[in-house]
Amino acid sequence: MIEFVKYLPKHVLSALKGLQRHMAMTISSVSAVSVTLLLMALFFVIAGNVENFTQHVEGDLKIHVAIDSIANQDAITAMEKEIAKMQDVAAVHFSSKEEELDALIKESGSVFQRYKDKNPMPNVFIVEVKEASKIPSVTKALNAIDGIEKAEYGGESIQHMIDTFSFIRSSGFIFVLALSLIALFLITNTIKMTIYTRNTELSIMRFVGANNAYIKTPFMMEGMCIGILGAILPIALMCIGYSTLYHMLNGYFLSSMFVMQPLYPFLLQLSAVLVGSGALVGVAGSFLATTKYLRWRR
Amino acid sequence: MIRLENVSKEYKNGVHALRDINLTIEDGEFVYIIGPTGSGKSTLIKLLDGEEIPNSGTVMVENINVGKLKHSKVPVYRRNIGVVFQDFRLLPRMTIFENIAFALEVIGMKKVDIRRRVREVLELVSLQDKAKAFPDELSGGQQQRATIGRAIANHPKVLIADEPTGNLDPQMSAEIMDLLEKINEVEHATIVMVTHDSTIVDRFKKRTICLEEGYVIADIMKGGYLKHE
Repeated sequence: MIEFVKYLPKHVLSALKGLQRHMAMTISSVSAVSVTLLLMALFFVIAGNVENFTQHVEGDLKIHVAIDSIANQDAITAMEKEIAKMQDVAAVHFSSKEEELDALIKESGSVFQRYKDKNPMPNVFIVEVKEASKIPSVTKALNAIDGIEKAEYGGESIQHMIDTFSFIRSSGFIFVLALSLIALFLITNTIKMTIYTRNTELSIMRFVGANNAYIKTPFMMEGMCIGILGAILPIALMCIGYSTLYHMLNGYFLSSMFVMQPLYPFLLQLSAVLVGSGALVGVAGSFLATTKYLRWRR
Repeated sequence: MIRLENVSKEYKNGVHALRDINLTIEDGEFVYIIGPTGSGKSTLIKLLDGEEIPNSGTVMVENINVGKLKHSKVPVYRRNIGVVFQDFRLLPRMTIFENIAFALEVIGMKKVDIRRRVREVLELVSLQDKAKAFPDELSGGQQQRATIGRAIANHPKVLIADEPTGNLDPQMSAEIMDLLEKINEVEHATIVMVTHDSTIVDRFKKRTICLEEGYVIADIMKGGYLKHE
């Protein structure tokens, strides 16, 4: 370990020298990494935004509970307590029929002003649940409570959307994982080729008594550099592309329901992930390639 | 000291490279190993430098049982032996100085010590004025001298030379032989030299071990190339 640290500057230097000397190899492996990381970045952006959409939609999901108009104030208070005690309920808000009408007027226009004298709106509870998937069961339970006229939520279609989102999310992450494996394979292969071109150098190193770690470290540094260099282009493209899209769409995708991830810290996270996975994949790739090459067969 | 006891080596493809070899080479000896192609010379060298392990018998070099070495210990073991190849194997993009220094960097010698030792070695192999030259700017004989310099830089106890004069004309070969004799004397290294070159073996008389089809067929202390009837 001490030896490793002692030789680190020398290894970094020889890695840079190696990259420079084998320029064509460097360019080919960097571009291979770039393409893979670009795909990975695309999926990261999609997955990240879908995640955001889901959270937003889920956050908006509330159960609208209309209270029977004959229920008096005491009964309402009792009901509120009962609902708040239910297992999957996160919060209960009471909204009087006047507030409901005001909200309707605000949302749909002054036409509804004329109902001011003869308010048709019921008193309601707005119930928030802990998990979107619990909405149907909570709604059912609410409907069973005495004194409640009707409990409703957006219905099947919303549930369906949430399911779709979670499918996109999980398949996106599987895809990213698969892409990382491909990148690993690509880097392993390119580095293997660089090693074959340096066959003599390696065999001399072995003959003069260099141990495997000494031979391997510069190659691993090189792999890391290749990975990091390969991340630059995708990061630049993603930053420019995503911020352009974000500003063009004003931060909403298609409808106000789909809020895009704000530029900061999302792009920073994306860059960190790309640089990190580039470097990691580069190091792992060269490790595998050199280990295979240096394995003793006697 | 190099000691081989009942050493046999058979490759996976069924070739019997060495059969029941018994050999002792004392410290500071200079030994030729001769024999036709396929007689097992290369295999003997591979057993000595730890590249191959014998199927049976023991290979002892400087009291190390080479056949029983763990893989991870082989690089460290190799620091005790220098190897010179027929095709030089110098790193083309390094100067002669750097090529020799490389062997010392790898084993973790201090920079100051490396510089001192490389100068010493360059003087020994008479290449002081070529320190900054690249291998392709040197003649074959000079390149081989540089290789020898690299092989002896870390004071190996054993120097293995695999046909060091194979690519050289007779005059350069003689130069290399003079150099090897000098190293044998100055550095007290045991030298094991594999060769085809009958003129050299006849001219610079040393102990000569003759291999054929994996057997030692002659071990002549006074030297000279073995003539077949």
